[in-house]
Formats: sequence, structure tokens, C-alpha cells
Amino acid sequence: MTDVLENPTSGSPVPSVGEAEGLAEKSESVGRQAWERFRRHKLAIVGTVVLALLAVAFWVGPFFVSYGYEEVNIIDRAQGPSWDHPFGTDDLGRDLLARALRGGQFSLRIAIFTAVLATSIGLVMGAVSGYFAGVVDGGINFIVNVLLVLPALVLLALLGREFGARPNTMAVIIALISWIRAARLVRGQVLSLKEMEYVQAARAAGAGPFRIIRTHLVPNLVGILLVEVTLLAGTAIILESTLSFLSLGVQPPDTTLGTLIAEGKSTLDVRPSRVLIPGGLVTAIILSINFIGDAMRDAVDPKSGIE
Amino acid sequence: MNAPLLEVDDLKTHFPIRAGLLRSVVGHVHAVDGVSLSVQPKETVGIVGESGCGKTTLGRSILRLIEPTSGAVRYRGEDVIGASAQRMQELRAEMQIVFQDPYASLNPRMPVDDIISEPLRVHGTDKGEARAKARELLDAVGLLPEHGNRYPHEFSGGQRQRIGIARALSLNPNLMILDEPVSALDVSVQAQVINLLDDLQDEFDLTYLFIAHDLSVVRHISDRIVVMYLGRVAEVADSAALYDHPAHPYSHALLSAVPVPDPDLERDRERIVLQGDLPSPSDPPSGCRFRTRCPLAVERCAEEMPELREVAPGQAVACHFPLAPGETLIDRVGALGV
Amino acid sequence: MNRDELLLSVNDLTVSFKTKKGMAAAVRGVSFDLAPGESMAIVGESGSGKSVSSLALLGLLPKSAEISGSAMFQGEQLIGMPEKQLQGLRGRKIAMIFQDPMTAFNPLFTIGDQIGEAMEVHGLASGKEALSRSADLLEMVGVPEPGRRVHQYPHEFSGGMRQRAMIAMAIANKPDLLIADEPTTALDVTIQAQVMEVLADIRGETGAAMILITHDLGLVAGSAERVQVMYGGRVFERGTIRSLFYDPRNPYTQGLLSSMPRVDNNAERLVPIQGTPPSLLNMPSGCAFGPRCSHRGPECGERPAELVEVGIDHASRCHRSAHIPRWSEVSA
Repeated sequence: MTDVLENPTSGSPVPSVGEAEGLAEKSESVGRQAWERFRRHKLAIVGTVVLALLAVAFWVGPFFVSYGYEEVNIIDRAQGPSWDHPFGTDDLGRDLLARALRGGQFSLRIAIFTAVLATSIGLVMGAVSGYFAGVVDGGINFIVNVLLVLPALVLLALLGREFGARPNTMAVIIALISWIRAARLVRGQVLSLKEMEYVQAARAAGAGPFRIIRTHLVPNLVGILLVEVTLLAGTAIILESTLSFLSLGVQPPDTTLGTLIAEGKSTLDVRPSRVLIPGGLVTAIILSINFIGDAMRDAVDPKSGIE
Repeated sequence: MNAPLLEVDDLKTHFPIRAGLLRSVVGHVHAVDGVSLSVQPKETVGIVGESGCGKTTLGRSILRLIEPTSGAVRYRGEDVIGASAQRMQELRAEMQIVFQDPYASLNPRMPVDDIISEPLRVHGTDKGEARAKARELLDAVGLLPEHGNRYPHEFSGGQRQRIGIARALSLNPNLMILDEPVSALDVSVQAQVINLLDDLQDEFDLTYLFIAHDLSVVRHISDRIVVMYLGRVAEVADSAALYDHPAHPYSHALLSAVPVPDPDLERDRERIVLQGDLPSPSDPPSGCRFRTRCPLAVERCAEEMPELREVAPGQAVACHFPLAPGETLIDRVGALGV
Repeated sequence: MNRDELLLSVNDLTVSFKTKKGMAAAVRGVSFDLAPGESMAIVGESGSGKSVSSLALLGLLPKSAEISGSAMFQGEQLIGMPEKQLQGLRGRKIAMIFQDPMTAFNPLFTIGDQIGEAMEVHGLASGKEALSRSADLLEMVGVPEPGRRVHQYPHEFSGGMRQRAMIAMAIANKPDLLIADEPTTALDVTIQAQVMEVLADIRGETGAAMILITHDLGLVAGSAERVQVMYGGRVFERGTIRSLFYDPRNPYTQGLLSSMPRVDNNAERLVPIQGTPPSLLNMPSGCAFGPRCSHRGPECGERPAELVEVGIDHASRCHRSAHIPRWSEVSA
């Protein structure tokens, strides 16, 4: 297409063929353009569908399974997959399908909740510390350093024993110690972004710090934040299972995918399905979140043009 | 003489240099070190100097994008440095800035409409009205109003610079600080933007403070020119006078170093090639800042800092031994027998 | 001139890059000759192909570049020459001076080491001798206290001094050809004057030929004998500096000259070229300058123009040469 640049001196329109070529001819809304960019990622569409299916299965599935996740049945214990128990049963004879669905519920909740919470804390702390510098920055840096020095697992264990057991509190606890990386990323990014001339221009226009953070800094941080969310989602699932393994996480008879994998490990040689099934679910969740994150990063970046 | 629109009086902006474990202050960069100037309404004052002369810091200190260390800035006689946060916000509508880098000065995540209307939104205009105004401004700077929903990366360097100008115009300012507005552009596009600035000045009665390192561009656009060297003003003169008979040895050397697109002139002209580099602004020379590179420097120049004084109507120079009209640096050096 | 006496003879050089959006032709059939000791300038705006053509000669382009045409340097074909052989030429027979002297030096080694290295690579000097030669070279390019400065690191040099050091490194092996790619663009005008003076002196002493690549027509007027003006990957006009500055025949060259503000006389209003330079991926069909040209006719949109002689040692690429007013009329 040609882009017409009106010439103020002669008034005659002159076609200009600079970098402005390759624009969509029709003017689309910002949201629509973002959706177009998202849609180009086939894997992200697959990821969205998989994640949606999993969520439905985890929350609706239990109504269609004839066994409860906590229902002990000593007679049917340690069985392989069968019509009655498609995923088999564990050492107490509990139905592993019902437990996988229950565990999936918790793991997915913990993964998403933790990732979003930790990234949000990291965003606020990092943005404030990077933008204001000085005393505020010093204070936040102090907290970050203290958290870095304390061994994360010990801290988790202490907090877990005190408040743990519920998935939401688990998520909050994990988030409280895992926002540091996000905060440091954001702070570094903000330090360089705030020197950009468009931030200076906003200041020259009289914009206050919170407006600048909201309209100029945050949108330019979305890319790295989304990467951080996807990484944290994976970390959260693994951290949670470590805690559960140490019996500091979700308490039995409740379970999570991490716990199921840990339990299945002892019989890996005889019944690999006990690890493979929850392991596969964890992989599916993390991969889906990753693909979606990738596509969202492109979707919010107007520069990743539409071919 | 009318009341000046902008007055800068002995403005100093020093940056602390921190070092060591405790980040203690070990010195200061004297970026702007006692600059005074005044700008009349609808005038274009050019500020030239090489990198490190403090011209960009000066522009930003006037707008308090960088807080000056001392000195005064007065806009229509009103103190800007001491203005309250609320008053400053109102003053910002009167004084706007256009930046050098057409890539860094526009937020890549914002459509052009939003970029141009942001100053209006900050000042409380509602969204629809701000957008309508943005489209008007796009038209005023020679872009198509319907391109407002596009993103900066879809425009060329020259077009982006027009967007930056439209943003600065949105609050109907009186004073525009133009910080190297054309130096990142190709020659053919540069001329378009210079002409646009000329037109806008007439249309909106603007006063320009035009900061640039390119003396040809500054000469073209300015009524008066301030030559800066190492944080201080070396010379102030009407544009024609400065180019015709510069009084400061530095102005003279600077002008003679600018290449002109004329082979015969290039071959025949007497070029004064200054020796040495710019001294560090954290440790400026005593006395006259220029003395370490000045072919005329004598003992007095190291001991006594020359004050800016008028040598002809409208021409002031900070030099103990200014050049007389018609006298060249080469004549003077020859007469001294150096 | 006899072809055998030429230092460099470039014929129909074409360079394209594979990109995600298709092939981008950066250089489209550039030809020129350079005699020993001669100084030629290549002028153009961003995207004109001025830098790419010289990088192609030295084999310094990324692998995604497709290069065709011929470039005979002292009787050897540079295009398609094996990398090993090119390395033997680069820095010895042909040396390059870049725009950014900061990235041209490794921050971890002293300036002396790096200039010495340039000689050692080609086995021309080593150890103590290389170091003392480095100091001599620094002195030649006007670096004060060269004996001390050879032991300093790049960050201890100012921009102008670093550019001098790069020139010293470039001439270390007495090359026959210097390619200076925007050598003063990052420098202040007073420092630019120093560096251009050093370059001229050095060429006077060593007799090296030079290709000066720049966007600054003013710089060309004072430091080259011949000029090529490039636009959209093609040479639009070439000639001696006198013919190009006093009698430019191509509308693009005329446009460039009239859009430049000048320090020596003040035009009331500049006459810009309309529009923006074309993108490599979206070249106009026909003449690349056509859409911006105020003299365009119907033929300009149909096919690219040929470079035709318009005077002695003066050629212009324009369909409408006969209709282009002479510069004396335009600038009056």
C-alpha cells in the first residue's frame, strides 16, 4: 500500500514509501489487532484449548467418577488401570482418576494463582523501586537481599507449617518468596525505561509518577512479565510438590499432582503409569501456559506485525 | 525591548559523581555552570555547542525535567524553579519540548492518537475531545488524521518527528524547547521538518529555543544564537553577526570547522583546527573554560574567568581578548607571532 | 586509464539479503573504478546501499547476503574469494575505518597491543618492534605522548583520540586502499576537522587510495576527488567533485543540495525533497526516486533509468535528463 504524506509546503500529496508500508489497509481496533497477532500462534490456540479442557475435567470431572478422591478401599489397593479404575488405585485403594482430578484442581490453582500473585508483587516492588530510586529503592533492596539470603525451602517449611495446608495459602506463601526475580527484572527494566525520551515527554506534559508507571512503564514491561508468569507457574507446581513431599504442603487425604508423582515414584519400576499420568498432566499444564504466554507477549506488542 | 518570555539567570546544574562502597560524592559534573540568557516572544534562539557543552542539560533544567542546582528561570517574569507542584503542572502547558530521537521519544506501545493526546489527558481533557484534537494536530504537522490509530513503528523517522512535534503542540504552548529535533534525520527529510517548524512558528506564534550541534541548521532557523562551551556561554549574537564576525575564538574555530558543500570554498578557506579534546566537565580548567584549546590563551586567561560583556549592540562575548569585526583568528595568531 | 593500472575495478556489484519478508536488494548493479592513490566518496542517505557495497567487497557481510558481480583488486577477484585469502588482504592491502571507534577496539587489551596485533597477524612485526611501531603510528596520527598512550586501554581515550588510534591501526600495514565508513559521524565538528586533516596527511604520506562513505556532502567537498551519489541501491550520479557540486544533473543530487542548510549563506527557505527514502523491501517500480521527484514523467514509473554520460567523467541516471534544469538556473 502507499502511504500519503501531505506536504505542508506545496499542498500536493506525495506518496511516501518509508517504513510505513505493510500496514493493514483497514483500521482495526487495538483489541482486534492484538487478537490477530495472538491467533497466529497455532500452539497457543492448542494450549488454550488444552488448558480449558483440563480445567473442565478437573472441576466437572469428579461428578462423573464413581469414587471419591478420599475413599479408601483396602481390597482394591495397588491395582493397575482397569475399567473400574481407569488410572488404577494407590496403596490405600483410592481411585487414582479421582485423585488426579482433585490434584489437578489444586495444582492448576496454585500454579496460576502463585504466578500471577508473585509477578504482581514483583511488578509493584520493582516498578516503585526502579522509578523512585533513593530511600524507597534502598528499602526494597534490603527486603530482597534478606529474602535471598534466607534459604527459601526453610522459609517455606516454616510458613507452610504455620499457615499451610490450604491451596490458597500455599499459593500465597510460595508467591511471597518467589516475587524477587520478577522484581529485579522489572527494576532493571524500569531503570532504563524511565530514561527514555517518551517518559521525559510525559513528565514535560505534567504527568505524575503513577500515571507514567501505568501508561508508559507497565505496557512496556508486559513482555518480560508474561515470560515470568509462565516460568513461575512451572516453579510453583514443583515447589508445591517438594513441600508436599516433606509433608508441609497440602495435607492428606487431599492431594496435588506433585504429591501424586512423589507417591508414585516408589513403584516406578512396576507401575510407571502412577508417575506418567500426573507427570503428563503437569507437563501439559506448563507447556500450555508457556505457549499462551508466548503468544500473549506478541499480542501486546504492536511491533510484531501482521503479515 | 519587550518583556522577555523566558529569562535564565546564572543557572547551574551540577551532577554528583558517586564512587566507592558507600556511594559517597567524590565530585561534581558541572554540566551547566552559570548560564544566563533571555528569549523574546516569537523569537528563535539557537543554542549550539559540541557534546558535553551542557546544551541538552540546559534545556531540561529550564523545564525542570532535571532540577537545577542553583540560579533562576523566569517565564513571563514568574519564577519557575520555585513554582509549586500544582503551578508547575500549569506552567508545563506553556513550555513544551521536542526530543532528538524519533525512536526513543514515542512509546512503542501506544497508538499515535494516544501519544499526541496524552498531555491533554494529563490536563483533564476528556477522551473524545482529546482524540479529536489529536487528529487536528496530525493534520497540522502534515500527517493524515486517519493514521492516528497506528503505532509509532509504522512511521518513518521524519514522520515520527512530526508526531513528537504534534504532541508538544497539543497544549498550545508558547515556548518550545527543540532538542536536536532534526539531527537524527536524513538530509532530505531534515529540510521538511525545518520548514514545518518555520510554518508552525508563524501559525501558532511560537517561541523556540533550538538546541543543536549542527551550525548550519542553527544558522538557518535562529534569530539569535548562544554558543556554549563546557557549561558556560561563550558568545551570544544575532545569527547573521555571529556568522559574519564571531568575536569569541571558539565561535570562530567552530564555524571554520563546519564543512560546506562547495569544493572551491573548501579548498581555499582558512580552517582553524583546534588542538586537543574537550576537558572533562567534572574538572573544568580554571579561568576561561576554553583556554586549554585556545590559540590566544595567555596567563590572564588561566587566572580570571571572563564575564559575558557586550562588544557590539546585541553581541556579547565571554573572552578577555575578543576578535574585532573583520579580524580572523589566523590574523590574530599571526600578529602575536605564535 | 588502462585497466591494468587500476587499483580497484567494481563491475555490476549486486547484494541482496534474505529476510522474513522476502529478498531485499540493498545494492543493485554498482560499478566504479579507482586508481591508485585516488580518493572517491560514496554519498547517500540511510538505506542507499552505500555501506553495504564496501562491506561486500571485503566479504564482511553476514551469510544471508547474496553477492554477485565482480570486483578486481590489484588483479585479484574479491567476490567469491575464499575467507582465508580475504583475511590476508583485510588489514594489509585494504583497511577499514568504522564510524564507531568504541566498538572497534576490544576493551580488555591496550591500544598498543591491538595496533601491534594488526601487524602480527600479517607477520609484519612482532613483540617489542610491534609496540614501538605502534607508538610511531600513534604519533603519525597526532596522538600526544604516544609512548605512554600505547599502554592505555580504549576507555582511556576520548572519542577523537580513539578514532585516531583506529586510523593508526588501519595504516599499520601500509594498505593500498582505505575504506572509511562514516569516519567522523560520531565526532564533534572541531574533532571531525582534526580527524579529516589527519586522514589527508596520512594519505599524502602513504599514497593510499580512499573510499569515503558518508551522508555529509560538505565533508565530501573538502576531501574527495570523485563522488558517487547513491539512492535505493543504485548510483544516481557520479562525477568529479567540481562537476557534482557546481553542475549536478540528477534531480536527486540537486534535491540534496537544495535541502541542505548552509553555514556560509542563509537561504530564506529550504527546498526539501518530498516524501521519505524507499524501504529496501518496497522499492518503487521504475525509477527508485520517481515517487519523490518533482520532474517525474510517465516513463519514470515504468522502468529504471540507465546511468548515462552527461559530460566528461560525469554520468547521471535519469530518464528525463534533457528536461532537468541546469543547477545554475535552479540555485539562482
